[in-house]
Amino acid sequence: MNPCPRYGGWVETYVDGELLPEHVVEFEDHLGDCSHCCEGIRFEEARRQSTRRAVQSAVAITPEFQARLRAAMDQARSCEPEVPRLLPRHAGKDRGGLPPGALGWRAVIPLSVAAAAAMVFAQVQNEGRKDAPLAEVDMSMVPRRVSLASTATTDTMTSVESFLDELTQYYSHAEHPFATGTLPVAVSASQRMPRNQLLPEVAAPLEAPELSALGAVWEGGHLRQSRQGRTTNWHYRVGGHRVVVSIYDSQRVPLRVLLEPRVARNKAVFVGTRHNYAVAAVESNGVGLAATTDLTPYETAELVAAAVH
Amino acid sequence: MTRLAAMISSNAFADEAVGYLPSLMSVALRLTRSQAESEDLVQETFVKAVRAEQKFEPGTNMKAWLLKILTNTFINRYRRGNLEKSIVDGPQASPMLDGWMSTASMGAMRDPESTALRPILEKEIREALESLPEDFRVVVLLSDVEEMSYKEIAEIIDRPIGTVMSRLHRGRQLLKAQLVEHARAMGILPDEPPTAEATAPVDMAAYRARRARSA
Repeated sequence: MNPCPRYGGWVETYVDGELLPEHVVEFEDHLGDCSHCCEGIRFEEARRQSTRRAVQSAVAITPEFQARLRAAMDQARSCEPEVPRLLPRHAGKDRGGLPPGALGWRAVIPLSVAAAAAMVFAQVQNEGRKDAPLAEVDMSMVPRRVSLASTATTDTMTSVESFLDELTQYYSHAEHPFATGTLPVAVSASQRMPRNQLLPEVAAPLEAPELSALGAVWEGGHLRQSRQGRTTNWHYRVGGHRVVVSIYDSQRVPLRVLLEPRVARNKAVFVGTRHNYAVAAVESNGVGLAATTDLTPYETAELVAAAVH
Repeated sequence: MTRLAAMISSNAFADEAVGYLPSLMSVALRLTRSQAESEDLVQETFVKAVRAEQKFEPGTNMKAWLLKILTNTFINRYRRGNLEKSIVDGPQASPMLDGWMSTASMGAMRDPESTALRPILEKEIREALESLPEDFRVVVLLSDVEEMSYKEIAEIIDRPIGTVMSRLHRGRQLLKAQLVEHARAMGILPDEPPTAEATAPVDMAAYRARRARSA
């Protein structure tokens, strides 16, 4: 059969959905009398379906490539000129020509958390050697990979429940790290130290970062001892919201057994709420990093994921 | 907007953009014909997108925006020289190609019962696509695979709609010709005598005039 001489050229455009409205009526009327155009439409639709299938079935997106892509995008964001750079504050000292204390939000928490994480890790390593000095900052100890929850015993679940309560009760009661008042019963001892005493205590080259350029304030650090072990709590206030970042022993109290696993910034984060506060944690190599806030669980998960490199 | 909200907003942009990764990868793979190069092309596309986030208008077609970045990156990175060289001048410009496929042939080609042949045909389709000149390949991918409108394609490749239609038609005709040839080789289609129109002497003046109109 010869091709349709008049309307054969309309087939593709019709299947593309781009035929002019006034031509559609004419063409569809023609289809009633033209088997070639009808078959042409069926063929075009089948060919496109085959092409889509052939192309999409061959696409392989590996987890490695996805992770590389995310890292590249994060790097691109962090290189944006409007994002301030983190500059540690040297109280009372010359800045050595450095620009004023503009800070990158994504860098602030990692700096302080890295030092605190190293301290807690050293604490775990030095268990039983209570007189031994704490190790210096070891950046390789900063959590990089997170393992998912595994089976937990009843005792572990009880400990984790208690620890979650502690985190949120601490958050709700500790308006200020140096506030006086009754601490939760589980806390047998606590040390509240002014900022300038933190340095020898944590045995880390920690300089309190200046956050005023972000409109945020670093309110202090707080070392706390409880039945669940020693916890370091860094206090921040960002955009009017208090944020407490807690470094803890995740081998002793794995929060992941009670919290919901989510993915934030291509990392596994465990998220939940307790007493109307959001808690999000990243756990790796025995070191846990948990953020307690009055923000949404999603925002809290983003915060804690951003804190982990 | 607080910095925290800005950070979360930026993450929402990245999350939405990464949602289009499969589409971008399928187009990139067919353009570059290499898994490694397609990953590089896509990665470069997303980095550019993140850096140009402020230029993206929320609520508009992000997929088309990303494909435009990808296409431009491909053109600038992989191709140099005169992109406007008329492909239809080459040996693939066959004035005998238009309209000689019979109804029976089309029916046989699209036979859904040929499931056993499907993997073979899919491979042939991919190879046929990759053999297309890049100008045609881009528009065929954007239309047939990504189902974009002529207007969207025109914006992506920064050409008039008429050019899009012309390249689409030529690209699809070339694809059809390759697939028909393969189908005949495999015995799916019988050799059939060309139509009277196909055997008639080619009117080159009419052909050239037609080509000039569609370019």
